[in-house]
Amino acid sequence: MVTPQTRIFWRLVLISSLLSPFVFFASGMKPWSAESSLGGILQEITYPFEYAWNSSSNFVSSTWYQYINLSDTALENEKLKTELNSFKAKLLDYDEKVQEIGRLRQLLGFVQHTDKKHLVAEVIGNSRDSAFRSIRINKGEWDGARVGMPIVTADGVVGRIIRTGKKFSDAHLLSDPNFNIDILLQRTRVRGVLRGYGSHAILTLNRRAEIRIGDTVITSGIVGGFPKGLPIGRVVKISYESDHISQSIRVEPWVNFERVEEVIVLETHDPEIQKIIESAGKDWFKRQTHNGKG
Amino acid sequence: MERAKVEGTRPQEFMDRVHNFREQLRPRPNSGFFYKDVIYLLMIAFIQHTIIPTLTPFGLTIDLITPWLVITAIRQHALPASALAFVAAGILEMRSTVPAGLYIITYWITVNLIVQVRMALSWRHQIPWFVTYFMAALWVHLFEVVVVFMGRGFEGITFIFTIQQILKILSAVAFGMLLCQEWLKFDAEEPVPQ
Repeated sequence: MVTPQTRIFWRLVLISSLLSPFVFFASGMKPWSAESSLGGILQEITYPFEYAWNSSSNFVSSTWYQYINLSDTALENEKLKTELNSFKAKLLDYDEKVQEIGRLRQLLGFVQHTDKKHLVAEVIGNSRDSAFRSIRINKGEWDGARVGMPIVTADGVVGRIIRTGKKFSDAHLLSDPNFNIDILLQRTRVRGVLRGYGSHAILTLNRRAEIRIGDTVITSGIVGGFPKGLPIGRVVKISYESDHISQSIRVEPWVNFERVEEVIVLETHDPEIQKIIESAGKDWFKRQTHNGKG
Repeated sequence: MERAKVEGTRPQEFMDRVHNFREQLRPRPNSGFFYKDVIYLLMIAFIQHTIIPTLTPFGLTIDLITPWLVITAIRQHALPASALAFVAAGILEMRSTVPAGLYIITYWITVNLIVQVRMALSWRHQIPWFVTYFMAALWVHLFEVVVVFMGRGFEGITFIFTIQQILKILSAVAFGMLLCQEWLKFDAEEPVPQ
């Protein structure tokens, strides 16, 4: 028997649940970053299974491609030999240029660029939802990974850590809509902010900024913790906005996110955030959010 | 004669015990224990997020959690059903980069609505199950579309994204229809708690 009070209670629950989307849309609409919530604990439980699955599936696929499916290997070998010869020629020129840069830096009094501390991590999971792209890596808090640390490969920028577990971390990719990065156009040195847009990234610049299809986009090193000069992608499309002021530039990342297996986590911190921490203390973000200002 | 009769029943007893044991192990959305329900949710999420994408050539995305929660909402009492919806939403949101609250809201509304209407429907027929799965999956994945549209406009609604959403809805309905077969039998128990 349902009492009137129970009926009213459930009606109120239903009404409040129907109103909840308005609260959601009024929020920042950012992914979770809390490390100790129930969802986080459940992720810790599933991590060993995920790791085991990834290791065994990698073993099967590597056996298949390395020992059984070798039909394209000879052709690929020839192609690689040709590429290697051209790179050898380029390397001679490169060595000369590195020496030249070293001399110029000394002359100008620049501080010698130091190698950043880094962690090498394996990708153990990949969220393939085209709208919200992320990867999971096998390095977490216990290994020194922290939220905000940049993730790169030899090809360029991959993304940034948004959540850390004890032995794993989740990172959003360059193409994720929540990802923003300060960039430079390598050829013209124009600066801008690149943001993820699904399968690619978008850069909005003033219409007068000189840009061409094929231009390379690199990190500016100013904000976000990424060192200066890391390749990000190349310009594939330029379209002019209807406001007659700006142009929208489509950037295709150098990194093929589908094929990333190992990544490098740079143990760098955003210099802007470091400045805030130095002046306002380590718990500045918590205080902001507790006061309802964040 | 009597002895032979008794011995003759032994293999049948053994088979019954194996069958019962198998039935106990089989993941169900309403195991009767909250901790088991949480473990099953974790297993389903693991299959959905880790196993299926690696086994399919294009990283197929499917939805197994929504039909699982639909049955949970039909079979369980309101409080554990809502709690399991929050757990499932938490698992999904902590595994991807969707905005915080997206699944919490969609699953909470889904469970609430089902709890309100479940007594008025006859769950002995396929149509109520089919419509409930379809409406639940449509609501969850259209909400995702709205969130993507609000963030990126029409450019966010790419061809691949559209195909993925359609596949998720279809897989949710198909998996749900597979799960509910036991309540469509003539002598099945009533799925809604009385």
